[in-house]
Amino acid sequence: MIVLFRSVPPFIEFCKAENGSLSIGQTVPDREELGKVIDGDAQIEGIGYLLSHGGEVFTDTITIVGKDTLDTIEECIEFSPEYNDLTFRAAKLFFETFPEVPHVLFCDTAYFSHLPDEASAYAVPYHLREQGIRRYGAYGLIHEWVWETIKDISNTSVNKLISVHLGDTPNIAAIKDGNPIETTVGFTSSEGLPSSHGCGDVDPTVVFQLYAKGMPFEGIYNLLSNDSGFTGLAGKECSYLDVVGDNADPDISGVKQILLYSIIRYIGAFVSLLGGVDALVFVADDVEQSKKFIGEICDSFGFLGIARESIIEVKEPVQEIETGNLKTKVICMEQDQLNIMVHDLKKTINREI
Amino acid sequence: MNILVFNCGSSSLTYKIFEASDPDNITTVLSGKAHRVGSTGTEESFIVNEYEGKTDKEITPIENNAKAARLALRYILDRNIPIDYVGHRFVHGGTEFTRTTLVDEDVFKKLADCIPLAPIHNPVSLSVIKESGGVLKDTPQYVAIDSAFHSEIPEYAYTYALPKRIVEEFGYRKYGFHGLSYSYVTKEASRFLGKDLKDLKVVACHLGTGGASVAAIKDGHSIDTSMGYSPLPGLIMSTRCGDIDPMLTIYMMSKYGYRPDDLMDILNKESGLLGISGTSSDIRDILHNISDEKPQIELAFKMYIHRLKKYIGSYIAALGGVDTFIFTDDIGVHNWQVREKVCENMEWAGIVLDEKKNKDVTDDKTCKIHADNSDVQMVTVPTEEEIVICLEGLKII
Repeated sequence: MIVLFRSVPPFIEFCKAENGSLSIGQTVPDREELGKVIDGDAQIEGIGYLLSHGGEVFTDTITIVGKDTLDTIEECIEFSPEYNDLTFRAAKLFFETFPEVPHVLFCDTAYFSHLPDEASAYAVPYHLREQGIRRYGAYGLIHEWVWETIKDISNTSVNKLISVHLGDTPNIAAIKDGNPIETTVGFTSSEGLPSSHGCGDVDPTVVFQLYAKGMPFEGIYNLLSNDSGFTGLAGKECSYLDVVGDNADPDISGVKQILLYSIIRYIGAFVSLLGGVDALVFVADDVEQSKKFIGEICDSFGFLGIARESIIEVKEPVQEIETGNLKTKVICMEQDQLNIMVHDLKKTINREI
Repeated sequence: MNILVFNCGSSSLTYKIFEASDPDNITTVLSGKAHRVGSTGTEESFIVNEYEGKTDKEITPIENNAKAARLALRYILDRNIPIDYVGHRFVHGGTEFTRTTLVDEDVFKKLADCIPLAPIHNPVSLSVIKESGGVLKDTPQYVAIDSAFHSEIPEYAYTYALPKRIVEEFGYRKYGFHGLSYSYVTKEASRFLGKDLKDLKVVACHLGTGGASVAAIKDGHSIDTSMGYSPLPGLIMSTRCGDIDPMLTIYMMSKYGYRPDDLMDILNKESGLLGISGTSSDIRDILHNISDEKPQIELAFKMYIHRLKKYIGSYIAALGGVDTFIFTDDIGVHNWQVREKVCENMEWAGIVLDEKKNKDVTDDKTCKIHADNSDVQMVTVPTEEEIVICLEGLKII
């Protein structure tokens, strides 16, 4: 059995993979409750943890966890306190409980740790940039998988790829010859596209003004990362599927407009940086419910020869795709971090043995 | 009737006197500009006046815009040029000021309340209003508002994804700036190209020595622009950081203990090209000093171009393709290197620059810079915000 952990604040999500089937559950980060997740008698092949934000320390997507690794994870908590703290607690507990089992850390920012300086740096003074103030990106597992998959199944060469990850925290990456050159995510995933609770791009002057009006830092932090985004705009709890899914609420079509427009703008921005695009890939947990929305995005790129009619859906097991002589392939595919982690964990363990 | 127009940039002060009795008949009596006001670059500041066919240049320290205005007013008074009205560009009037307004004591106070909205520009404009009010007593003054041109940006483009109640209470939204300039350059480009404004999809880059922005303009209306609630976000500017993760500001204040006022000053006055290069806030100095030994200077240029290309691409997408491309203001018109670099690998959008025409641009007129095989028509247009400010004045006088 393989066990995976990822943070879904305030809970820890766990996933047990055995004989090709996955079972998923959630628990509180309490030591005792968390301890119950893995039965002491279970045959464990390996345990994996997803670290949302690896700061400047984790530059490889996959790290075999040793004692030192735990200290390093702890140092990274400050970059994403809500998420990283949960990951740290799970990793520490199970590393100590199952010392004989391989433990693997998946770092979701690592893929972007080699972004070109002009994309990773903020235009702030050097003394701040030296302190780790930079753009880190996120969701590297998904975007790296998209690149690896598309380059293998494409009938023509793909050099310039834009990977649009749709879900509760939508984000986009621009990839050139396998290397990411841009991402919508900055220091945190609050930058970029609006998400189910996060604000996306906002004039930082607003932060200073809220503070001047008497709101404490913690209040502003919560406002921007928990009360904003689709939920803030709608004035009620609101997920990605509430906005774009088959049963989307028509009262909040304005929220969809805002998300749609932000995505269109970022795709345009990344086409510009890449100097064109060979493959525009949409990846989602739930492709079926995203199709209409993907179609609407494509409608805006008629001027690049992109049309909703030419969207190709790639399904497991992936096979070579034939796109004729279209300049830009438009592809949609379903994927989830957990599947990628299961696959990569097995590969890593086998290699280690 | 003579109207004296002051146009404060963050690092320059342009001023003009127009003889303007009716909107169709405006002649320039005097034009002047204070350059490198308060600049931290390597070259000295100076002021140039063109009057009655003569050009006077004076190299002198110009610490701030009030000093620049004093020098300008002295030049004007020494020559006994009568002034009937004084018009000013005012960058951000919030929701209180959305149209051209005469300045009295009460209005001045309310304008001062708008300082936090544009902490670099508003105080500077107010200092020039005060200076000219002191020197030209009893001459009425008015302000033309720079964000007005962007008032038709659609809701989905001006809305920040913040809680509804916060937006309703405090009015946080994208306003956008350089509106007077965009208004002028799009009309001028349409005249020059012989095309109706209604048929154009325009991406316009207003690249100044201080502030810089990009706008997407469709049918003569702004549909999006890179600055925001304040003139801080968007492009990398001389000392402004442009886009930055809003969460970062909270992190820096809570983890490193920066005081909000100090951090706001860092992001507005010590960042941008100055912050990256560590040496100069001026793209011309940056270009001049690029070398392998100074990676931070090269990084400043790369980041400037990278951010600009991002915005251009995003507005081409917002417009559903582009047919007209405009570069304006000091850097936009004078700097062929920036244009050349920005237009590299833009064939996907139908943009092909003519390298020679691009280098031959002159700053006294609109110039065509696209190659014959370019689908997109590209021009440099020396901006004339002052004429727009003058015309705005005529509307209310």
